[in-house]
Amino acid sequence: MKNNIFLSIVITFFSFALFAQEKPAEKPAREPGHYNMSKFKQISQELPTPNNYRTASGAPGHEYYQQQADYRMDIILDDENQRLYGEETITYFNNSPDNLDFLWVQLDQNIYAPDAKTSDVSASGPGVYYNAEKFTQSFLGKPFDGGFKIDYVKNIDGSDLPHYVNGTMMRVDLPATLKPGMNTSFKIKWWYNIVNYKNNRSRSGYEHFPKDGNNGYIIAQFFPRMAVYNEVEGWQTMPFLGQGEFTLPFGNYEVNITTPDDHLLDGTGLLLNRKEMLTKDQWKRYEEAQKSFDKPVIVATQKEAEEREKSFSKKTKTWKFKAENVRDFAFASSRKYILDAQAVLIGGKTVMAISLYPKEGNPLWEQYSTKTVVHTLKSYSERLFDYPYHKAISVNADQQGMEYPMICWNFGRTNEDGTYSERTRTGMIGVIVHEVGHNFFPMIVNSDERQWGWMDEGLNTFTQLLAEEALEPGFPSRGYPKDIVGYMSGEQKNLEPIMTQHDLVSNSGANAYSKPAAGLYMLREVILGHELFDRAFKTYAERWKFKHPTPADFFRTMEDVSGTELDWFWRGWFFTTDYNDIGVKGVNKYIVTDKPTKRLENMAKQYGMKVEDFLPALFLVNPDSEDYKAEMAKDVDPLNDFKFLDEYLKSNFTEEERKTLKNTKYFYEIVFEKPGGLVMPILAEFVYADGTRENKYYPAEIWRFNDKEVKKLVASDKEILEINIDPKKLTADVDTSNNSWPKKVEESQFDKFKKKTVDE
Amino acid sequence: MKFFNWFLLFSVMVSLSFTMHKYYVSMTEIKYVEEKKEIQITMRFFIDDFEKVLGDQFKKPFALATEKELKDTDKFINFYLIQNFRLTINGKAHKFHFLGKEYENDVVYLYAEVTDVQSIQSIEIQNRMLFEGFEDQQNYIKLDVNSQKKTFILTKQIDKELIKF
Repeated sequence: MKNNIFLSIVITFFSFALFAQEKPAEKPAREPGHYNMSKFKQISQELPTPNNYRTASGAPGHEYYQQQADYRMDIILDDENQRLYGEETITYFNNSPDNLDFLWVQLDQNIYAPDAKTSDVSASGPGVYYNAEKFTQSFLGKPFDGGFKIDYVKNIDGSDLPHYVNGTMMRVDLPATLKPGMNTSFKIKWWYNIVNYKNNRSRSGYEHFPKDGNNGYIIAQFFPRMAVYNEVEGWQTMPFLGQGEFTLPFGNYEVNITTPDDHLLDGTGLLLNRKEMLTKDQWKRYEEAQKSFDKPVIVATQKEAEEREKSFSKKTKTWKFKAENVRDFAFASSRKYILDAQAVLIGGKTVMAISLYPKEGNPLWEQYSTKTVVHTLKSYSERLFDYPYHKAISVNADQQGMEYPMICWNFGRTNEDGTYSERTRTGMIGVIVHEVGHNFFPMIVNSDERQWGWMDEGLNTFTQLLAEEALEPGFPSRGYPKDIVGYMSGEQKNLEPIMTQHDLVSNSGANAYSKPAAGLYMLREVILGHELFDRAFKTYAERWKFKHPTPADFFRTMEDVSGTELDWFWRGWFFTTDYNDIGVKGVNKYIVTDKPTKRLENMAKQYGMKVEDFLPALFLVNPDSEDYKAEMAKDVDPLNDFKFLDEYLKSNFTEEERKTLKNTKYFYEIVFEKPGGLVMPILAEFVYADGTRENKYYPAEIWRFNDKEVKKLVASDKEILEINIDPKKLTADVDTSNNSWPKKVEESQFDKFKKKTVDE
Repeated sequence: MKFFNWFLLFSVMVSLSFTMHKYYVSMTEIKYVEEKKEIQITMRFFIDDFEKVLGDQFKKPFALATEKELKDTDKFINFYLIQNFRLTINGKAHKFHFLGKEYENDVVYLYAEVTDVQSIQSIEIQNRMLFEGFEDQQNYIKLDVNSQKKTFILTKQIDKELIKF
């Protein structure tokens, strides 16, 4: 109590003191302190602490572990009713140091269940139109009956396992704790109605072809799949809402798929009975394809496919697959498929590039699909690591672009007369490069897609861009820094940082694809250079192939291998919505003279010395300063005009050496401004009076003490007529109106067009 | 901000590793240049979408951006523009002049201008382009008038917007 009284007296006293201070308003209020606000401070606050699982260098640590899930499945495709039936045995290996009492299984099909939360969490208004089916489903109490129907979840001994379905996730309670190093097996029997993916805009399902009555099935997320358990998230149980893709453990698969016997099917893994499944002729052609390294061989022809389209066989056959060390399984099946294949040599091993397409894709697909797969495998393997699987399949599916291990769906259909536009052709090639490329990110470098879309989409869009540049010069790729300016200069309320969980990203295409790709492009072209970047990027892929990397592992590996401090770049580009805008605010010219300046006088005074003590010396004088005298205006020739300099040069350099000296007489103080919040290197181009150009690179760290404005003295033996910032548009500068000195009036696209048409 | 820099929407559509929902979107930039007393209009459409709508309306094989493109295509585009795009300035409907078009990759740009605009107190934009071809077509408008920048979306349900200064 006593203390409290004392304290209140002290406080009162200080309050009076403060009050008394403020009243005369003599001293301004002292500014409060602050945390470290430098844009170059270490990024440790944003990243998790390194540990024995994940090292500070970004590599897997000595205690790194990952779980494993093996599957044995018998699948039946009921084409007449568009249903899929499955019985699966999952063997789950607990490689973690933790005891597990229950397991989480993903039921992605439940996104189409009538009671799915997915539609409840999405804001909605009246649709544009409702066809009879849609109206009935939406309003008349007969919604599409999608979602898994679980017949049972059983222990391997046949006893029922308690389980609870929570939306797209199912918890399976184990009869006994699964201890570290142990494994457990259990069985699930299920079926579901396959969704018409064009009606429901889904990543898998079937496409109906009304003309011939057939369906094309692209089947994925089709079986209850184990969730990921690790030291980062525990069980990764974020619900599947549609945008955030998948998070899956690696494992081995044995899958038997029964279809009508006139279907043609391919999927993830080794097709063990391909010979049996093909006709004699087809098998012969497939064997040919295995030796054809220069062009695809048509294995199942269009004529054969057109015959199969009509047969609607009631008989069945069973396709047998075995896949090792994959994170998922998918397949495509239809009577309509044509199949072609080509061999490609990767790291001394033969990989098969395969395409499956209905006649609606021809002649485009027989020309470009398999060739694009071949190119993608080569290009990515060179940049990352040798493609480790034995095949890669591109399946034609209208309006699709979706990836799975060894197989992907790609759009691209021709007009009915077989013609197609250039946009259709480049769109199809682009999507094939992208989806086949996803084999690397995230099928093998297995990031958590549910959380971080950019880790596979961004890295893949970047690698795709380099592959496309090598495929066709001038290919309309995206992911260049100039392509992201529109997004980054948009209204801030529409933007999220790249480091945002994928379901919370409002413009995924720009945020998770183009922006990270543009960032990597800048790192490679501007900040690190090809050699440092390529080695670091490759190392990241090699360190984390067949493992589960996190964002920190990527950021840290890139710094670890390049030996370059990039915390400022990660923070700005990935953790904020800041944009880049750098300009030239002004240029001050200086003249060199041997007449002492005011500055020197002041300095001499400060040290108690005389001006003469510092002489002889040279000085740079601004024509606007009081030091400037009219006679300084004459053309100065430093190598000849100053005797003491000449003496110095003669006593220190041979005649030969003196011939190489630059006669520097132009001095400029350039004032760079940075209205943008991002720190970025300054890419300055100097245009000299003789017409030559020189590029000067000032690293981003130039901004470390002043985030708004920096000055730089530039000396030259040639007059500078023009300074341009980032003339090649490599840094996503959102406002280029301040990028030049002297200021250039930028012609808008409109003005350019108008001028052009008037000239004509 | 540079005049022609706002195409975030177009980057959405290019290709996602997700179902290619085709997004039907166009972008129209409308800029009032006070010194010249003119309104500059730059429109951006996907060639394939634009060609389909023109073809459906005029029953001609326009073959845009190919060697076989019809010679009088611009005449039909002008006609289509007049039908579907209206500018009302200070309460009065204004005529615009279609200047021409340009192609870049999968995109066609249309250019038009309104001259002799002394000042703008209000501007109403109606853009019904491509609505008859695609039910969920969205026409983005980016307005830059009297140093104010505004962005909005016109749809089949709400196809015009009035902005007062």
